[in-house]
Amino acid sequence: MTSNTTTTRGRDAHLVTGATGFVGAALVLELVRRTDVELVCLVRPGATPAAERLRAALRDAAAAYDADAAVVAAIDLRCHAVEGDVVLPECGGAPLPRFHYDQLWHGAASLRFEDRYADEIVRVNTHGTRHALAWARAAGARQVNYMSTAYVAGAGVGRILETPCDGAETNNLYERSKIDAEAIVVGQRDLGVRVFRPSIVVGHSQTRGATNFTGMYGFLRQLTAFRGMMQRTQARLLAETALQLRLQVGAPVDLVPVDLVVQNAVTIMQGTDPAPGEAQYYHLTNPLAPDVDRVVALMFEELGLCPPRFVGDDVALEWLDERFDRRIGFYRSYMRGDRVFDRSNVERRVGRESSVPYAMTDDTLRAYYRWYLERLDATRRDLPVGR
Amino acid sequence: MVDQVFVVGTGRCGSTLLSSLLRMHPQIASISEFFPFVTDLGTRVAPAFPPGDVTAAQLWDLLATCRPRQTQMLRLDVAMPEVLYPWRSGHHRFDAASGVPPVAQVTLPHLSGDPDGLFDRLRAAVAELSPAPIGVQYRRVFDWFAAQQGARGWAERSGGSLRIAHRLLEHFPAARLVHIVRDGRDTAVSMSEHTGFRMVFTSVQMMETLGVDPFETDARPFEDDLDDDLAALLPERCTREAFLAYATPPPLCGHYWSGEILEGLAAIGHLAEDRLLTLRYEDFLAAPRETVRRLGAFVREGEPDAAWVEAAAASIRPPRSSWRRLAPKLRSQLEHACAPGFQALAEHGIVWSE
Repeated sequence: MTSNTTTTRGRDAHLVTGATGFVGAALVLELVRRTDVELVCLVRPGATPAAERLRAALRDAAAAYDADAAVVAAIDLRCHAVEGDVVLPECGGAPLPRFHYDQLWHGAASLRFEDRYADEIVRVNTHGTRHALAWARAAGARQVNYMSTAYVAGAGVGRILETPCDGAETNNLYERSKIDAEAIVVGQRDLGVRVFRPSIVVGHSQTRGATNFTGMYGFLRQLTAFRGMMQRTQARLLAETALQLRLQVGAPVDLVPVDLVVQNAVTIMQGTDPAPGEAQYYHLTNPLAPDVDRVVALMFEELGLCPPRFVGDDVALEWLDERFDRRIGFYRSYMRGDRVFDRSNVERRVGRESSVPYAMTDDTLRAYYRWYLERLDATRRDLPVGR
Repeated sequence: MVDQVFVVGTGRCGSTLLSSLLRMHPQIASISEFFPFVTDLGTRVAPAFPPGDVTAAQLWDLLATCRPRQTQMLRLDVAMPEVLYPWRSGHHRFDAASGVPPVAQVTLPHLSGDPDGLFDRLRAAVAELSPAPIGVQYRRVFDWFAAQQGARGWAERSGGSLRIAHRLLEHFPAARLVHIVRDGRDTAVSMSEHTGFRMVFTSVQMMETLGVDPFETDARPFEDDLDDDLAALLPERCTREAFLAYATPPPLCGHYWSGEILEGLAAIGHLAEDRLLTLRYEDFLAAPRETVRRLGAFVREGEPDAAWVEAAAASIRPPRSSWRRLAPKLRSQLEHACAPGFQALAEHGIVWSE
């Protein structure tokens, strides 16, 4: 692995932001596996050198996804760290290796949503997108692949098309920032743009491994923490009391494995480039999304909790229900709404057969939960006993 | 043999009153709030009862090393009202900046008007102790307190010590227990207004969310999972205003009370009458002489000193908090939360009339 070197000229290269993140690392590994381009990754300055952190993130991801030895070996050869930060103009302007830059993959984002992070969310997701584009343009790249989110649909329901955002009401600052960022990306008249919109990304479809734990994992973690808190309050309370949750029974919750997201993204990128000023939209989602009540009920079962009762907004919550409801406020909007993400563009590019719908059976969901809970429990072993 | 008595309860159940009554007793050393501070408000229970022999140095560390949670409460000036050490005075050894050693927060000033002097004498006494299991070491300390008072026995009373009743029985096989119980609804309301319980409940929420104790490490995994209000209570950013603004709802305290009663009765409910006396706080209010007399007869077998009974009974004052002041919805939620605790007590013959 090299850092800020200028020893190679002329080879095709892609710029990548967010390469140490969940989707980003998987994407880099997929690009390593399926292309022969060099990958120049923007990595934030930190206590350890950028190259070292990039290598560690990619190796962790490779281990989590059981990547081929050839892919692992290629990490050091083809993945290059450039120290910088999307919050800075032109991402800090660090010198780049002398490659021929064609594509930008912009995935760096803050996944936070709380009010206390409002400045950071805007700085990274909105201003950061502007800076990433300037960085790519300065390097000569003319194609932008932007990792957005399917949830720029906000509160929209029904069939969500692969088209520009329609101004639907948003549920949180994160969604708002991604809508703003999409608008910035598609407003670039000199660049061809692909907007990729993954839904709720979960671990690898075969190994279940993941390297970042928001979304489904965040909900599971909140439930774990709530269980722990209430166990310290009254040991058997949640094992014997059915929590009431406000969610829409039968509403799909679109969980999509990270490997399928990046497979489709790279396949689409390998097709015809969009013309300058053209923007294409792709829902990297799962047409076999499970029902939210099943997803949640299995979490409760896996944690040894009394099966929850699912209620509508018209039912008054008990105090304990309200307590949990407050903890999962962020997730509430993802637990309701008959929302189906249209995938016409993806299927046209990838082919209906290979756009890989992924069935989230009960066993599959349990496997995902167990993979994560094993690791989460290991981090909680040193919590002090209560009595 | 020196009488060994523990007064156990859920916290906010009137046990402080018992410390005050026993402090007036001519033959009993009243040891107050030893375990809440040695266990750093219940977050260091396991370290406070280590396995194997404990050296004098290890024991002194438990008694005298200032703990960050307690120091934080002093620095924010939200120390619980039970804290007796004069940390604000400006002419005592410990203050908010230094922290106050666990044993000096309440226990020493409850025994002496010169807590710093007693602290020094205790340090010298502890230094002489040979290694022994932790129960033996604590008993030696308590016996020493009794000797300092010229008392024939001691009664240790800690708020919330029902939580560690099983450990007390294990480490003090000759001890007898007084279990003080109070209407769970009043107890919960009192807990909800108490800064110590607020610290405990917020600490537990932060610990369970972060997966670490934020008072014991700088690591902040899963900090994003804290909501804004709770994140504001992390030790590095907590202010007095944020701490006082954070609500500890009565229903949460009611669930906690029920949990403590259920676990506590499971730990001590089997004890014979000569080892366990259960007293209702309300009986101290309704029938002070008779109830004080029962307490006295249990802690020192035989008819208690009449003058002590009179003086102790006369000192009893009614409580300030009452669940009846709550709004109807909150009352209903609280009653629901306390129901399992009441049911468990009723199965042991302890009931309250409306």
